[in-house]
Amino acid sequence: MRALIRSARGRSVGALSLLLALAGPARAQEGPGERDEALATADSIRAALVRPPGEPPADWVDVAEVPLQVIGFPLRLAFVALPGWLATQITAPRPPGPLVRAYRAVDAWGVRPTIRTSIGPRSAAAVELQVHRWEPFYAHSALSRRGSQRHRAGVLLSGRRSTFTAEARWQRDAQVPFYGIGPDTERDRGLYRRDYWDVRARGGFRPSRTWSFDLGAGFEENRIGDPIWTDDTTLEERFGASGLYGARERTRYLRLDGGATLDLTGWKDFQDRGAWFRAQGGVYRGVGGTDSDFHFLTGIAQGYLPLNGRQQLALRGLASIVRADGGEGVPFFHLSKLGGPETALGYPSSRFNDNDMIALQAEWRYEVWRDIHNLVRSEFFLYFAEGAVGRRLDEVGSGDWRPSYGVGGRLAARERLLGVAFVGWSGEGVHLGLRGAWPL
Amino acid sequence: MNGRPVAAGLLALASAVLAGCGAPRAPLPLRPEPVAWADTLPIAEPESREPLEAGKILDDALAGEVSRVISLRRLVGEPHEALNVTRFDDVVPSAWYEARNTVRPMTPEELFRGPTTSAGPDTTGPLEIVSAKVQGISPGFNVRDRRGDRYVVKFDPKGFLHLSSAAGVISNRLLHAAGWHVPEDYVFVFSREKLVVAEGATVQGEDFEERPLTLDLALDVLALTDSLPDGRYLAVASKFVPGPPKGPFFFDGTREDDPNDYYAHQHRRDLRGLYVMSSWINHVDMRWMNTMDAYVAPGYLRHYLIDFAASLGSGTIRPHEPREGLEYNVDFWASMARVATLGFYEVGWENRAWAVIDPSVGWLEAEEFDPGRWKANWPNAAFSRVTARDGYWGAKIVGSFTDEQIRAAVRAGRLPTAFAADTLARVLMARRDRIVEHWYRKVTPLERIEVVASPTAACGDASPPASPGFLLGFEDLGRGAGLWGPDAVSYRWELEHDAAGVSWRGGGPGLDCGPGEGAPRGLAIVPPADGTGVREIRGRRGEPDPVTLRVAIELADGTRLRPMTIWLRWGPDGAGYTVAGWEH
Repeated sequence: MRALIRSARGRSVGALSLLLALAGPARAQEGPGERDEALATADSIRAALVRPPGEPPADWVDVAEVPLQVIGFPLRLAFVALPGWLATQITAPRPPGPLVRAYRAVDAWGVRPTIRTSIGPRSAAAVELQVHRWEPFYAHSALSRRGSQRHRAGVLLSGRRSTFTAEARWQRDAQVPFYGIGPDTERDRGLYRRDYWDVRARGGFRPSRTWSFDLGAGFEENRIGDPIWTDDTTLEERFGASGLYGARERTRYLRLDGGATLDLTGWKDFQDRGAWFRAQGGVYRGVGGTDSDFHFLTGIAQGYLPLNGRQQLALRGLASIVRADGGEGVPFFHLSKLGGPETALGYPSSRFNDNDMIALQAEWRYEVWRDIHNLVRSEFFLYFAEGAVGRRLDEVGSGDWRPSYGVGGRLAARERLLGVAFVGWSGEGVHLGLRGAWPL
Repeated sequence: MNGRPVAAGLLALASAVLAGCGAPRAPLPLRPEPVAWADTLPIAEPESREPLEAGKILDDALAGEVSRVISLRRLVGEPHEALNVTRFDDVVPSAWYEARNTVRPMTPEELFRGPTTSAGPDTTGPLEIVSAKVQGISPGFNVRDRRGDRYVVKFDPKGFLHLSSAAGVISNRLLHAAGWHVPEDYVFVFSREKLVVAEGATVQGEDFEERPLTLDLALDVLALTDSLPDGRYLAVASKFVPGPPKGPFFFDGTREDDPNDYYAHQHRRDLRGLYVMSSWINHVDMRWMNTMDAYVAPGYLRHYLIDFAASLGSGTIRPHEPREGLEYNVDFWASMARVATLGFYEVGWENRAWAVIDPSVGWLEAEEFDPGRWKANWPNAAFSRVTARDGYWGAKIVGSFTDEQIRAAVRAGRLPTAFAADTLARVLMARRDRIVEHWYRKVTPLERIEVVASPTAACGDASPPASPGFLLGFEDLGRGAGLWGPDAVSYRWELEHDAAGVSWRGGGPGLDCGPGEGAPRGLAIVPPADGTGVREIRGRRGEPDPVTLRVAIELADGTRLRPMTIWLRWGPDGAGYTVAGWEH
């Protein structure tokens, strides 16, 4: 110790240092019985030390900063302390608690409890039990906060280039909004309940990396009724429902649909690049007393244009056409829809309904942050969309287009989207949202 | 907002009002000094602690940064200077830091050996794997050699043999020579056949269940790295520090269960100055997770820096990238600036073309290295409070390393080619020079200041100033570093004794005399020709109030460096002035 002191600058080391060197450590090396005495001696030496303050003495700046401290305290509590505590609890490396152990046990047995952000139109979050014990057979059963339900069972077969699904489903959309038909409907809405069940089979085939095709057939039965778990205005109260085909009668359809996808996108330098196209069409034929036939066509084109290493433009065009082929026409719940993140962020889902719909979306993305291991990144985005509905696309006038704006943030793990938080607005108000999927 | 609760602010208000806000600080010679080794007094053995990362990161990255930028103290330019400084603007040896190369230049051989006491793990016998970390970003295992010494063994990422091992060992040698406490790190080569699993060794799975460790499981780690051409494996082996580990230390606050921990860490000079050292070796991961308190004999906490794999050109699992060193991992203000300007705000690294120097070195550059703007990957409460004086203190340490010493430290990394070693050494030399140039210009960098007792002998033909004038001798580190020549500098001085109402001013190029070697200079401090103040000074020789002498360097281009303050006192024998202290 003395040698160390000598090695220090002589002017910096006072007589007390020598005392420390001789008294403190020397005593500490004595037997356990004398340990307490050594600690007490050390305490008394520490108390006798005359040193600069351990914290800076208060000055006028501290005084002037008191208001900032007062303002900052709740902000710090809300935006740092609480999220930090939560993050710590979530990410803490510790043995799993009884809840996690129970979850893992039932999952290992073949039942996976899941929380979903949505199971249908305006369903709100839902809990779902997924039984996968007898794969490739599965059974899922979900109940949402607004009373929607979805129960389905089927089989999923996957090959290297092909997939096949056969499924039976019963679903209740408990509080579906409807605003009327056409581009000039009021903001007042009516809610309805749609109960339906269907059986379907679908096959997919992917002959190359870029092309894929799918074909499906099924049967569905729909019943419309009053919404549940709400006192909001019902469809009947708002529209009388007498002029809406499908609102009062049970409808049954055989359906056949198919689609083709051309995927020319790629992942390079942490960005999507290229274009993606999909065309889809189908026919519905009324059966079992349903006098209604119709068909639909949908086309989607998406493109990703890198502006530089951190900025990107994502573009999307979407058009949907539904045409009656005979009988009573198209039930109102199968009309084309405009609204929500799929088509117009600033409007609620299904805000506009009509036979045809067109939507153009553009999103400018900026990579704000990427973690050092290049695993996770966050992006800020600005969103703009124009969309319109009409009886026919060629009848859509310039006054029918509805602009929509948005701003938000995305968190993604390489090509996998983890979540999107957004604020969308339009002439009709503001919508906040949190989603796990995004159309663009 | 600066990390203290509201109560502390209100307390500050009350204390300040009571104490009088405008009260000037006592002259430095009258202030108490830190006491060497005061934090090595015995304490009761603290509990080990394992702080959780997420909350701390959020606190540092968001609250810390917001507070820093909107801090009134920062805005008005009234930073808190470090507290544990001596009257000579230095630190005393402690459980945190112990000056080495700046006190006595180490030989290249000493640099090469660093803190090590052997040649590394003994490979003449089996290497027992006592535990393994088979998941995570940087897997590895702990081994025990034939001597019973235990080491943490980690490997280079695939495709980048030597990258993190060399960086870790080189930085280890440099930090040790600088004065911080570090473990014994070795570049270590071994055969797979030497590995055996110790009896009873277990491994913790993701479910936190302990399972018996099998050799196959431990050897999975080897699949994540490359072997040497002869089939052996290369790794960095970090010897367990003496004494039980007690968890990391933070760069702010103090540790409650350590009575020796007296100065708030963010106000420690040796932690603030570490910023400069970290910027030199590009140790972007210098944060609390890479520190360790160990309870060492005879019973106190010694504070270690550990794991230097993310330094120099290495980002541990890949080479460093241009952002690192320029922006935090989560840089709140940079991100906000980009969002607010729709991405038009760009910094140089964003579209910068870069390529690794060599797979064994990674990426490190000196050309655009700005020592004042360097950032670690995470905000750090001590680093964000660095003042010019702290930076200069750190730069003196960095500037103390000679080319030969740097090459010796690089040699310890056992880089595979002369090109890699030479390139890395040259980049380190260039970064050192940038640091010296940057920080030495932030203050008036005079050291070893003294009143020359025998000016005639010391200055050759120079005439000694007549009493009460005197000759001030010093070493001009800027001149020593070649930042300015003898003809491009003048020293402006101002001597004041408020109590006596004395104020002398003067200046000049200085004299070629003074203490020591290197770049000695002398400065004649003389009263005005009319003798103003002479009597008053002489009449107050017995007063304890020291005389203040401010000296500022003025360069030929008109730049005037921040003046330093030197305090003088009359010697006890009345022989004249002595230097009582200084701050830059």
